[in-house]
Amino acid sequence: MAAWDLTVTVEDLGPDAPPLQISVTSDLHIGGVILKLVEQTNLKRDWSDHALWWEQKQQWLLRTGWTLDKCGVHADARLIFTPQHKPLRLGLPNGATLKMRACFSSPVFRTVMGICRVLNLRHPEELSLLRPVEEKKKKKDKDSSEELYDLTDVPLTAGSVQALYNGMPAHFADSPKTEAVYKMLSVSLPSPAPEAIAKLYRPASIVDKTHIHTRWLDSSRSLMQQGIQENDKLGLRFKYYTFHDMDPKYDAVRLTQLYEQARWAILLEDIDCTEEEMMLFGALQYHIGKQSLSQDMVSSCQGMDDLESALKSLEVKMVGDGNSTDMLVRDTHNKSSRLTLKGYKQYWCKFQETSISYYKSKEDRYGEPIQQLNLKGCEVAPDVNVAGQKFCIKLLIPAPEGMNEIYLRCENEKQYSQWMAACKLASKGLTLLDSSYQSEVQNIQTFLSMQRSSSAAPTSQTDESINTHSLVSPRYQKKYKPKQLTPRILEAYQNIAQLSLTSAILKFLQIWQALPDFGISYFMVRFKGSRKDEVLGIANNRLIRIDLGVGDVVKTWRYSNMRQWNVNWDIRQVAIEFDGNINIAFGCVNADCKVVHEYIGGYIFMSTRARQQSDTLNEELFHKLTGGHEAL
Amino acid sequence: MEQFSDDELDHAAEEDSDKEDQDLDKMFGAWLGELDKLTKSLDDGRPEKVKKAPLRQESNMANMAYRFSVYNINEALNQGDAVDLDALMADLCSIEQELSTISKPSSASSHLGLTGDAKVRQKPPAGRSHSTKVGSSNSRPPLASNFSMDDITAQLEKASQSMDEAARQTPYSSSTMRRPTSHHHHHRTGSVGTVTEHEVRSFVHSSRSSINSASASSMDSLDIEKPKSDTDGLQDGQDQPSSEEEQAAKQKAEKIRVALEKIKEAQVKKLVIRVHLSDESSKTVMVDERQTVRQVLDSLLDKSHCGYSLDWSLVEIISELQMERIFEDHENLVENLLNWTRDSTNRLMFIERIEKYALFKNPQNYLLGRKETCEMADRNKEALLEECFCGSSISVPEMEGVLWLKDDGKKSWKKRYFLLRASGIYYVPKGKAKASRDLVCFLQLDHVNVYLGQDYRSKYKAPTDYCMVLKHPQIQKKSQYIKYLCCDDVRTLHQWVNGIRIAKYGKLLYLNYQEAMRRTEAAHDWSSLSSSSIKSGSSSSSLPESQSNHSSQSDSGVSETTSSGHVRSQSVVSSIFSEAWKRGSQADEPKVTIEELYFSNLN
Repeated sequence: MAAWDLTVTVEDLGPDAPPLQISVTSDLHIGGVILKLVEQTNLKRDWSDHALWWEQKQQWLLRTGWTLDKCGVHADARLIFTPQHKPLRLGLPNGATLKMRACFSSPVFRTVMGICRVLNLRHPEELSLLRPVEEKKKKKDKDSSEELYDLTDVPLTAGSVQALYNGMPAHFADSPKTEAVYKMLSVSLPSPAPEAIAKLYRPASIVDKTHIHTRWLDSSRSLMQQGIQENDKLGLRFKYYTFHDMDPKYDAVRLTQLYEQARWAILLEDIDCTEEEMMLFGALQYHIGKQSLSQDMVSSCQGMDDLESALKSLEVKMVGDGNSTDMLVRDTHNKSSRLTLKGYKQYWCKFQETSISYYKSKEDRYGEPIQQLNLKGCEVAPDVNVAGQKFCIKLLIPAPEGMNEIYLRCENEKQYSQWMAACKLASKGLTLLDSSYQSEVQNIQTFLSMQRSSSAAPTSQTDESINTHSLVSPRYQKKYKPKQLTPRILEAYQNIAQLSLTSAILKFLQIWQALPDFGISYFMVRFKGSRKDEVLGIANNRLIRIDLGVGDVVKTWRYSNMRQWNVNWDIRQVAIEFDGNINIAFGCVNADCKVVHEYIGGYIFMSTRARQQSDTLNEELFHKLTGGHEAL
Repeated sequence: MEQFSDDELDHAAEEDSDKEDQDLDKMFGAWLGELDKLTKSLDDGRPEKVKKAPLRQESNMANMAYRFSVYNINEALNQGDAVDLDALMADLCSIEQELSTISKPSSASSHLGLTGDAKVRQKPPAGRSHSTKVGSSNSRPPLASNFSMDDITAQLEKASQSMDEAARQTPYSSSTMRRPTSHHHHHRTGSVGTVTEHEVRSFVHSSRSSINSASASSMDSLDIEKPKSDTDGLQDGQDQPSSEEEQAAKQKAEKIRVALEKIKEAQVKKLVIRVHLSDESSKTVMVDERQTVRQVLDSLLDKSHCGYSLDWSLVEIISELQMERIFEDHENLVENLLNWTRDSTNRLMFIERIEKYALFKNPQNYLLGRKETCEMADRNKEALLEECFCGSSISVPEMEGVLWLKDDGKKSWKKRYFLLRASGIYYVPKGKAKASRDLVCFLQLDHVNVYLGQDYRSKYKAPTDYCMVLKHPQIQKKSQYIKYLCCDDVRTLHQWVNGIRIAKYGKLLYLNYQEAMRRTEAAHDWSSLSSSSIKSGSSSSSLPESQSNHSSQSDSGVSETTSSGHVRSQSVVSSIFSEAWKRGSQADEPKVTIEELYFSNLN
């Protein structure tokens, strides 16, 4: 057989080095080509990660057993000998950018698996990569200055089970640098400055929300094939909104990143919520931020903490019934005065068990109280204005005749936080002896101090102060001044202040998932036979047809009624058949219909996971369901 | 525990030996004082104090517990023959037994605390006597042989009457009421033994707390049996020869421990309540404050032999407000009943309600779209339920639409567009689109329960009869804090009610259902085929559209007539259901689904 010259560029020789010419025959297999190539370079190094990339055809020659002939490589081919793993700048859900090595030769689905293995993120099938929003040139110079976390030195391990070392996977424990990366991954970042939120892109309409889908990469093709170059930036996001087997014990990174993605979705109004919900989200963010900051300390001196709280509760026991002070009480049976001192009368109040008793004066306190209020089951709300030195507790106490509104006006912050904490506990049927009392008092005090400092210049979250504007979306930043916002968030905060960090994150995710629009990915489509563009929403259990003009749901189809679906690649049309001979077909207006296919198939794939007990991911099934024939 | 029960049997047998030595009575009292002090110190360090006279604000809180049960026992006793004391007693015994197995955890600490106490050692006879006495209540077989059933019943009646009397003697101010009734609570009268124990309780109470004169007088009336019982117990204590000092001390400690347990148990609140049945009859049952609705239902089902079905419910009927609610299985019954006022005319019904679990029998009609009713294969139903209730968060069904809202204090109703979200009920303000950000929060669901309104067309001039009410469970009288909503049809009403239940309870609701299913299936295995009513809700077949005029059911406490298949029918929803239920459970007739009911009544 005739020998001919094959032109191969070896990247490792430098950008200016001329391509190498090696003499080959058509029946030489790829492995043989590589061997010859390596011999000719005269470089001694580990070549095991290198492979041949055929630039004109945009494909890898990975099957070393195939001959050149079988691969279709002829003398005109320009091959590049290059490593399969290259550094990539990865935008994480929390907004940080991480530089790490990723596989450029395997299908994106597997590349994501590899990335997630390094990041210690379970269930990589729920995530995928997307191209970043195209940035304006101006911003580019800024990019260079942004803080970059670097994990490129960390080797990609093959094993799936990660040994923990020092509370983190062993490969993070190598150096302080990598430890810092793990902290960034597993601990939620401080709240951003309100201006930063306002500057970021927010989808203004449902049509805007469809644009994200033009950016997802094809899971069945490699990064190189999709034109991604070394050191390019890609976003890593949770793509399928169905989170399997979430376990705080193993999912520190996953939970944190999911929380961050949810938080940004809310801050950037990617998902709509009501004012009440926003306040709760704000309160939870504040709480999570605070808990994250103190997390290190807590873990290091857990024992001390326990002891301290034990001592404290002992102290309370010795003191006995805890609080009893002079206080202004307003019983608003005659609701005439508003928020003034009018209508308040001073009484000696005593907190006992779950009741407040009040007396005419301190001297009368051993006699019969004027009134005793049992707070069990009541609603407690703060009515506070630090600047105005108003510290009121509003109590709504249920009674057979309705609710009794009582206002307790405290003299100062300290008194307020003690009584507020006690009221909060009592409403749940707990007494002052409960171990959570002290921390509750602390929480309230911290939050009040936040209000004091909120008038200062906007800063990002520090230990004591935070601008409440950074906890809500720009819409509410515009609607309320921090002064107005703080009491609202404080009110919501009362109900969640006792949560641990993990439970607070879980709670945040839970409320997020309970939003009506949660988990719907929007696509601009044109239904067969229709003349106008419509929006198709894809959720984890159903497809929704939305009328663009009205914004209303026109029709819902559930996957459980789905018989089959297929894509006509020639006319790029998705056709779906449901039970009862219902057939729909549509083409995608802006996104590729492969993305729609991947979404529908992906959700069906996700739903098979519960039944599959094994931990290994069935890649083949995923590609089959998502039309990824190239990867098979 | 076995060890003790053996002991107890012994003592119980010995009980009737001597009948002298009055001095011991005193000693006994003194010992109880000691014991009480110890209990206090052990009782998680919280100083036990008598509550001051309750006030206006508190009228249906903790203190009501006592009032309430008095009310009930009065009612029960006034019924005369109707009271099923035997059944009540059986109840008491079973509770007793239950208790003896439950309250173990505290024992270890009591044990340690007590053995080291010199004062206790000084009073061995009293210590023995108390515990043996208590023990006797646990040992039913020997008792049964000693006393005839009639004897016990008579004594029980006597005790109850004396309480009743006490209750009537004292004016209905809560401060005085509290004492006598508290006796009642500790009154686990199932046998002579427990009657005595209840005396012991009262004694302990008196030594513990500063009782005012009124309560003391009421105690007198209760003390009728005291001499007898006390001596009974004490003598047998005397009889026990303590051979080895060590063993005696050990035994003593054990006994004290048992005694302490008993005291703890005795602090468990119990209510004697009357449960009304659909056939106008009623049962009197005793409910422990720890029991869930499911547990109470189970025991009622066990006793009533009415056939097991998922649909058996405990329904709270607030007649004054003309509303009702099916208690959820996980709820605590006593806690709920304590919300009733003393003079309440509320009733608790034990009745089959198909709407209780209709949500799970035909989830497709509640969880999916809102307009059309459809059939679904069982497999798909399961998948749907799984999807809705077993995910990482609750998916509240998308409920939205125009409802009528009653104006505060007026008999006028205005239309509003309402939406249900996990975080509460919202409405769209005038002139706005229904974007989430513009919604106004109408109510958050943490503190309110959802009730069905009864016949509000005449009461409040409601536009239809399909009304739901949202209120705090403690509110029992007309109030601006009660919100009334009216739906256009029964289907919408039930979708909303179930939506709210899901938003409120989430997965718990599904767990309740699964638990109920398990019970039903287990019972079904045992019971004969005659109680085959289980599947009535889930099976389906076509039913003639027009409904016959079934006579009204009095289950709801309000009698109505169902006019046939008309939207504007006067019937109360619940009676439609119960009627349907009747039809469904009749062996040969085709069975009905709840949805067919909707439509049979709507068309």
